[in-house]
Amino acid sequence: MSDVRPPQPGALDQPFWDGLNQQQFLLHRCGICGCHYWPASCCVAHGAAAMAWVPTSGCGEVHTYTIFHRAYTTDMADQVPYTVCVVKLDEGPFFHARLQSGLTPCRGLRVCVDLGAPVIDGVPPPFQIARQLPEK
Amino acid sequence: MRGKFAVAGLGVSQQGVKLGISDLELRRQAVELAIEDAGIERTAIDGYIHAWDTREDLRYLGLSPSFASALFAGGASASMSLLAAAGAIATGQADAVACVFGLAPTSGYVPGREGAKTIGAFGYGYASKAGLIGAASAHALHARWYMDEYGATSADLGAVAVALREHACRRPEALGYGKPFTLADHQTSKMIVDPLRSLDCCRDSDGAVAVIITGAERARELHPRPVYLLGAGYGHNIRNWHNGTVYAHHDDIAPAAAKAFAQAGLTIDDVDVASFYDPFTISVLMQLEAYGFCKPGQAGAFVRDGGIGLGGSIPTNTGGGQLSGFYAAGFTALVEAIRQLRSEAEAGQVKDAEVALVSGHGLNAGVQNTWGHVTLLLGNQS
Repeated sequence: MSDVRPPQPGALDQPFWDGLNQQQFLLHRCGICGCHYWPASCCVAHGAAAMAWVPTSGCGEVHTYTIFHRAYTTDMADQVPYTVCVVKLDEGPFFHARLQSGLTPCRGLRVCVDLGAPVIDGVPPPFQIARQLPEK
Repeated sequence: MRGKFAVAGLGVSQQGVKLGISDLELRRQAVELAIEDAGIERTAIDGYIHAWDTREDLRYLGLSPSFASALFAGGASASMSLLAAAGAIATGQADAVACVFGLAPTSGYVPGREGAKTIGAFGYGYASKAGLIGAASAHALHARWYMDEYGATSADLGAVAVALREHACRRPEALGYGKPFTLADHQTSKMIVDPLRSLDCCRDSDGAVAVIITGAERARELHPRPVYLLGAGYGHNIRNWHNGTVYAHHDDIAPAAAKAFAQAGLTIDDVDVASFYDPFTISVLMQLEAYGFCKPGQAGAFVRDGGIGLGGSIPTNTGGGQLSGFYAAGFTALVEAIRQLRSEAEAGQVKDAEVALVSGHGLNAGVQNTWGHVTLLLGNQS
């Protein structure tokens, strides 16, 4: 049993999690200025006036990262070491994700979310190196 | 602002690991010590601010203020509570306000945190689903950004750990007292959340602090060495989250420092001692640069060259800080600044210290280090 209770997806963000189950990576976008946000947000310039969930590429580059050598919960003991990277999505927002096991992180690494991976217990799929995608 | 309000009393309970004393009892002890230090009648304490997110038990403290409230911005709560106290005095609601913090996490007493830990308490909790858990990892994201940006190394982080341990080894009340270590020890300490090693991280400890704030004139009547609020400024990292530079900012220091120095009528050159919020070694490097004590990317060399030592250009966290002193959230830095300005820092005393800079840093975000920030300038001349 875990000694830490993870957060449960909130109703405001439910469209994002539903999207993952349909192999879509949705972000919250302001229809007035085109700014993208994650998680559910109000636009810092236009409030809630025109926010909507829209499909996006699910790609970006590694902005920073940390490699866990310590398991902070008992059920993660068999997962270390693992890398959590902050991906600066092409649309602008930061997204925190597990880097696919075995990959070496570095700043600027182009990555995409593995939309083919199953979403289990609300855990977002890992990001993997964007081999097949052209450089921006 | 400058010189209108002052610290008239300071109470610091025993600080240590597994003291086996409840947080409430520790706060009671700190309040008693502060009342004694200020030489004030306990019935004259007419305001109480609990710098944490739970209500206070005034019955057990034996206090009867006209107001009591909780104020919570994590490690920024300490300095914020002093400003809230000044506000209560300025608006005529109180004359003497006790600002109090006390936890005993290593003895199992953390109000409001009973039972299983909730990652949601850390803020934007979804990142924890990817395995980002705990304050160390959130700070590691800033450390990695900094190292990538400037070519800094683990040895630069280690220089901070060693310098603060040297400070602690002069101060018997510091938890690191009598336990010196070298850079080699740092470099072989266990990697926790790369790039942060075990000796890059502070440890929880038990303890309480109480600070009594009054108007300046009242403080002069009460205490032979009042410590004045000279200037203060707030910053919030949500601004940098929105503009995509949050990992380059340990805190949103620029606007806070600008306001604080303007209020105080001082510049960075006037600061005699720095008291940073330092849960991790990266915190000291990034703050030295953000305040302008050294140039961007140069903090590691600055620390290695003795810049933050007692004889350096800006003696920093002279009590050992959170890393090697004790962990009382934002009160760790505040306590040491007050001690320096009262000439009570014993073997760690900075000669003729007149102005201290205190930073507060709080509300672990779960996605970056923390959101809240306070810069406070304190002095022993009004």
